[in-house]
Amino acid sequence: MSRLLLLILASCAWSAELSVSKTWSRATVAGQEAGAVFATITAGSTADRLQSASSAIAAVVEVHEHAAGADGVVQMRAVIDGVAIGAGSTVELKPRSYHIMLIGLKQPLVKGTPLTVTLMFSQHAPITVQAEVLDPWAMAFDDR
Amino acid sequence: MMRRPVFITGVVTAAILLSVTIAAVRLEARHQGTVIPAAPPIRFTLHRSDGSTFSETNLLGRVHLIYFGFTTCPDVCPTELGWMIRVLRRLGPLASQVQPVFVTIDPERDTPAKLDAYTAAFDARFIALSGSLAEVTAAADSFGVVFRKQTPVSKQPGFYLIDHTMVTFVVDRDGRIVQRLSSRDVDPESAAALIRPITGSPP
Repeated sequence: MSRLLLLILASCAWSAELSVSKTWSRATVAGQEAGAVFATITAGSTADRLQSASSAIAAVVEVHEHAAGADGVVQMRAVIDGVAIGAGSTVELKPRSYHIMLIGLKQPLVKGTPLTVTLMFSQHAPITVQAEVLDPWAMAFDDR
Repeated sequence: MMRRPVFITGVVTAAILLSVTIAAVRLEARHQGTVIPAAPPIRFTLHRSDGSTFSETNLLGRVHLIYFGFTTCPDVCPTELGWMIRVLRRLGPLASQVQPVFVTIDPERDTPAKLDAYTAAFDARFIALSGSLAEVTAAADSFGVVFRKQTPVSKQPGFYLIDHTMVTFVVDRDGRIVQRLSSRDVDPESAAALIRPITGSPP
C-alpha cells in the first residue's frame, strides 16, 4: 500500500509539465468594457513564457502588468515580451500584478458562469481553461 | 534606606519607557497612512447620478472615503473598491458613519447609469460622482489626484486606459483630508483602526 502511494507521489513529481490552475475573474456589470483574468501557472522541467491569450468573450485579449510610480500613479501596460516562468517555478497572475486583460467584453461576466480562456506559451502547446467568475471585489481564487 | 532611591529610579525608568512606547506607537500609527499637515481645503462641484449637485459642503458631518477611478479599469479599481468594502466591514456598526464615494475620472465613457450599476455591484452604500471633464479635473486637482489618458496602443479601436493616482482619501467630518490610504500599503484592519477614532459614535 505504502509502495503504491510512493509510486503515485513519484509519478506526480516527475510529470513535469506546465500547468495552469486557479483561473478566475471578477464579475462585471452591463456596459463595462473590460475585465481581467488571473491564474496560477507552474512551468514544467523547462522554462517557458506566457506569450498571449485569447477568449471568445472579448474582442481583444492582452497580457497586462500593473506598474506603480512613487507618486501613487498606477498604470496598466501590455506586456510585450510575455511573462517568464522559470523551470519548475510558479507565477501567479494576480491583482496589482500580471493579468490577462479582456477588452471589449461581448457580454458581462456573470458570477458563477465560467468563461473559457486559452493561454499561449512560447514552448508548451496552448492550454484552454475555464475561469471561475467571482465577486467584483474578489482578490484571489479562494476569496468567496 | 537605600531601597527608596532604587524604587524612585525604577519608577522614573518605567515612566520613560512608557512614554517612549506611547510615542513609538503613535509614530507607527502615523506611518501606516500619510498624514497631510494643514492640507488646503477641498473645493469641487460634481454630480450624483440623479443630476443633483454634490460639493465639498456635502462632506460635512460624516466621514467619507473617496476614491477616483473609472469603470473600464480592470484591476486597480476593483481592487481598491474591494478594499474599501473590507474596511467598512472591519468598522462594524461604525460603518454607518462612513460614506464611500467613487468619483469617475472618465466622464466620457462612465454614464450615470453605468456608474450606478458599477458601484452598486460592489456595495449599495457607494455614492457615485461625475461631472464635465472640467469639473472632474478640478475635483481631482483639489485632492491632488493625477490622471492621464494613455495613448491607445490596444488593437481594440478607440479603447484607452487611464493612468491615475491609486489613493483612498479619508475626509473627516469637518471636510478635511486626514489620511491618504491605499490597498497597496495598508490592510483593511489597520485602515479601520485609523478611521475609527474620527467617526464619532453611531446614532
